[in-house]
Amino acid sequence: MQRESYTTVTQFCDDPLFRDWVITGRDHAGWAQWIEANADKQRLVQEARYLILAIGSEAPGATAGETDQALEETWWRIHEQEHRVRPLALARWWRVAAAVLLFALGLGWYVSRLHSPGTHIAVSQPAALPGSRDIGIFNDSKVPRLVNLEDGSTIILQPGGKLSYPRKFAAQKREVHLSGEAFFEISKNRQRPFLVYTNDIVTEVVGTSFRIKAADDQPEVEVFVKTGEVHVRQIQSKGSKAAENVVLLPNQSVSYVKSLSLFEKPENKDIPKRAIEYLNFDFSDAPVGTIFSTLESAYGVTIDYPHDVLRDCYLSTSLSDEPLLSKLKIVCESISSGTQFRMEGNHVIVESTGCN
Amino acid sequence: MSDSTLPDSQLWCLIKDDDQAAYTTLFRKYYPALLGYGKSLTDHHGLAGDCVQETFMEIWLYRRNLAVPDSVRAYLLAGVRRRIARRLERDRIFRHSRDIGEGEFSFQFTPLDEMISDEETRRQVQQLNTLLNQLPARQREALYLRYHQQLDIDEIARLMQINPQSASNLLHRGIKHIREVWVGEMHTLALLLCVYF
Repeated sequence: MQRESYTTVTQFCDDPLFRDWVITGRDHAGWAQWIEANADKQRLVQEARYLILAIGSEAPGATAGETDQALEETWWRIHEQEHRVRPLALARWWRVAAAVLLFALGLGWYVSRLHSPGTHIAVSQPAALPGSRDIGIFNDSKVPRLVNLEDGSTIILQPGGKLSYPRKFAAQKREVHLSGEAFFEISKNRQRPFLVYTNDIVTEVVGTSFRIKAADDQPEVEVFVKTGEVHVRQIQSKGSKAAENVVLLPNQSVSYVKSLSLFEKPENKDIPKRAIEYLNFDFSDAPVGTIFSTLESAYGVTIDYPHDVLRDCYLSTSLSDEPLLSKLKIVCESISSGTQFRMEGNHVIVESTGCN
Repeated sequence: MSDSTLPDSQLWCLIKDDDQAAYTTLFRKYYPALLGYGKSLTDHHGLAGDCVQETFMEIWLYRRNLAVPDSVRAYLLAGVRRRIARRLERDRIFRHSRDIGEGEFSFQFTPLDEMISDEETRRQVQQLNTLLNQLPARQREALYLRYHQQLDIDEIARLMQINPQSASNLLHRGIKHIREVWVGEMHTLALLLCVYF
């Protein structure tokens, strides 16, 4: 120990073990002994101790929850960034065009940020129309959140999930980005396939319902199909061989192992109880009130309807393969031509003059 | 999930091999400290958070080209500082604003009350703390980097873009000033005691 030769307060302050003792009280007995044996250092020790106490120690600038949220956001932004540079792999002429477009998008993004400091909304993908910037949604609540898309599709975003989608989809395809878990009900449109991008894979459908679990901190991405046919493939990395394409049928699921960049063999999967997949939405002679309350619990929405007017209304219908908006439309049309609905956020308002 | 006890350099190597878990570990380890530092450089806390995220984004996006830094902590702190400075500079140009204090170190030291048991210590520490918080911004920043972030003189110098001698001077001048004023007050107190008792 050369501690006996210390002559300045700073030497003590810079001694990690000394600091440790002052801040945490570690090895108190040892230090008490040392001070007793080195009485001439008492004043230095005392001053250094006061100084360290006055300086304090590192206070964390964020809680664990805030840190994880920031981590999620960072992955999200990395993902956006990686996507934005993809067009550069195209032929030279296209590179120039893409660069100009990217610059314009970047400038728009930057200017918009100037006007709204603190918020960041995902930047639009090259495929989207210029000027129709993406909407970014982060479900920071503890309950699933319903998202209605412009094309009538419904997405139920689980807590912690993030979704970005354009205000208006491109003419040839509908593209969204997901991180976290969500259940999709996609309105049918053969001309405009629907694509869901996650970090590692892209899931393509025409019109169907399926669930994707793509949490950033999980080793696997899982896609589970409820109805229809779903194509899943790896997002291609720079000029690699053709991406593996997996076709899934109803009640099948596939896992993508991130560390191996491989899909596992698709398997039939038991439908998780209580999940929306479990509900078949087949009603025979059911009171309208029962149908509405089933929809309410499945989608986490509230439905306001005139109880008195609809008390004696019964319906038989099968709604399993439809997004929420279509379901509501079918139910309302089935009740009577004098029945309409509108959505305000997670709130559905049904107006009716009674049933046929 | 990778082991949070791994040394930074090893985490960094894993990240270069696309290990997302290692990235998560590194993020969790340093985000709170970096955000704390960022917030002491600007009152705009959203900006601070943004710059910390961008510093981390860069690590992942350019992981293949980045060399393993000698000190990951110093590397990250420097990244945050540089980004905030750049953004504030850009804001000044674009908005023609002149927030004189922006970008200057505004951190206030808080005494470690939980380690103080007697009144005399509390009084002395309080007094020192007041003096510390009155030091010029750059001296406070050097002290913060030395004693809160555990950086050595060379790292502080590189981060503050000064030579090591200047960094050392900043630290010593700060402590010297405090001790002079403080010791002075202790003497006055001793004199008073002599007169009255």
